Amino acid sequence: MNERLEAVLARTSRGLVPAATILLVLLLSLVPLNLPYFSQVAPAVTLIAVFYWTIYRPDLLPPVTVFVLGALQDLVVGTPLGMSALVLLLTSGFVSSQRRALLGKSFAIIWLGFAVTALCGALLSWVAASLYFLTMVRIVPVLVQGAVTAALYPLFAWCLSHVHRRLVG
Amino acid sequence: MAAPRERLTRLTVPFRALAQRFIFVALVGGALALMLLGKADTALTERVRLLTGDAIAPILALLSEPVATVNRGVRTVDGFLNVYADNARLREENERLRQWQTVARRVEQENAAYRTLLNAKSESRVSYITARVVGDASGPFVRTMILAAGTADGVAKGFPVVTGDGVVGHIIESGERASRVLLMTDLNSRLPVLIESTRLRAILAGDNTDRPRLQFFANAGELQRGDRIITSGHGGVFPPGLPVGIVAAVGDRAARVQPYVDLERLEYVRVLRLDLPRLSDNQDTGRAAARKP
Repeated sequence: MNERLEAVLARTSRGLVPAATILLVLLLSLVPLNLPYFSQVAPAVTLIAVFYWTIYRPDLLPPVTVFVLGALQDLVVGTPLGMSALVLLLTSGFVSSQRRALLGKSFAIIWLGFAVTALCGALLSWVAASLYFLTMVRIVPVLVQGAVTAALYPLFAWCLSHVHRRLVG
Repeated sequence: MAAPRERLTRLTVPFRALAQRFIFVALVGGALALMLLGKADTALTERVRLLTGDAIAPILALLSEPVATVNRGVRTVDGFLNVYADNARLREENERLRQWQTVARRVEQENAAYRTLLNAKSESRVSYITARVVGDASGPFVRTMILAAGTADGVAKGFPVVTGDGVVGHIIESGERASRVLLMTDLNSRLPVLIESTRLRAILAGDNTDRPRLQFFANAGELQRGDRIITSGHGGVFPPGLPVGIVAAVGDRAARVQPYVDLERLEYVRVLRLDLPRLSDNQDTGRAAARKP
């Protein structure tokens, strides 16, 4: 009985790892770094984490979790409620549809896949924000943010892969 | 035993896929519905935001501490390295300021004399609450900050936020322990201002860039680069005369203002409590809150 309970607990805690990492990068992204110009182009870190887990362990990141984390991001960042939820959901949907094409490919191909995803995510959030505020939000910072996010993918993927191997297996 | 289970899985797999697709579509619809709800019923979403803000503020305060320590360390080293140059600069500045002090004293006395002569109504009293910046939620879509002070410390929605250099923004949400500042560079920020030299009224409208735009009611007049912009006090959010920024670029139809405050490097800010004369009964509680760090 005890062993079974332990197994269940282990499985549950493993299942929570992806959501926990996304929550952690979200909170870390809010810490004021006081670097000039950084905050405007700060990478969309949650997008990276959602991409990573959707590629490697989609079973541990169901759409409901993505939705909840996205809504939480909107609440703490101050973006229109539902906007990040929408962007992250559609991203994970898009990625899981392309998952078979990317899985097992070289890192460069996956990085390229992420670059495309980050660009689409940036454009989607730009459209959503512009519609919400009923004005054309400036697109250049959005695209720069997308590019920064794409460029930083290897760093985050490396960290996440360590978490992946150590805690999820 | 294994065979029926296998058959069962074979049966349920298509249903599962269908259910998953249904859940996905429902969630996308839910996100869109949330956006509409946020646009329509701001009171409800604000309450939810306040609760989450209160919940994460202590975590953010903890996380931001190491970064703040590193930044302070860098500044200390920087200060040691520049001690000679800084000293010379400060000496010069001190001399200049001393002259200004003499002028200010004289003007203050003159002002007081004229006020008594005219029996002018004194302006509302201002006390302030110092708060630490624990979250920087700026991005391409919003420009806000999270402060580790809330209604428990006397902060309330609408209060102006400043530093020693000038205006930062104003409080848009205030939970019990945390509040959110809308920076003057945010898309939704509209600040009533004056051109100091010409006393011309204008609105400083943020557009998510570093330099908000000046919008004039009437003719822009002879606006020049380097003109000082101060708050006008119209609209009742900001007290009049707070420094905002200087005109950095003048175009045909719009001018851009460089804020005095470096909005990227804020560690502590002051939240102003405007105690209107009529509400002066509450002043004691205000001051008690102001004393709290």
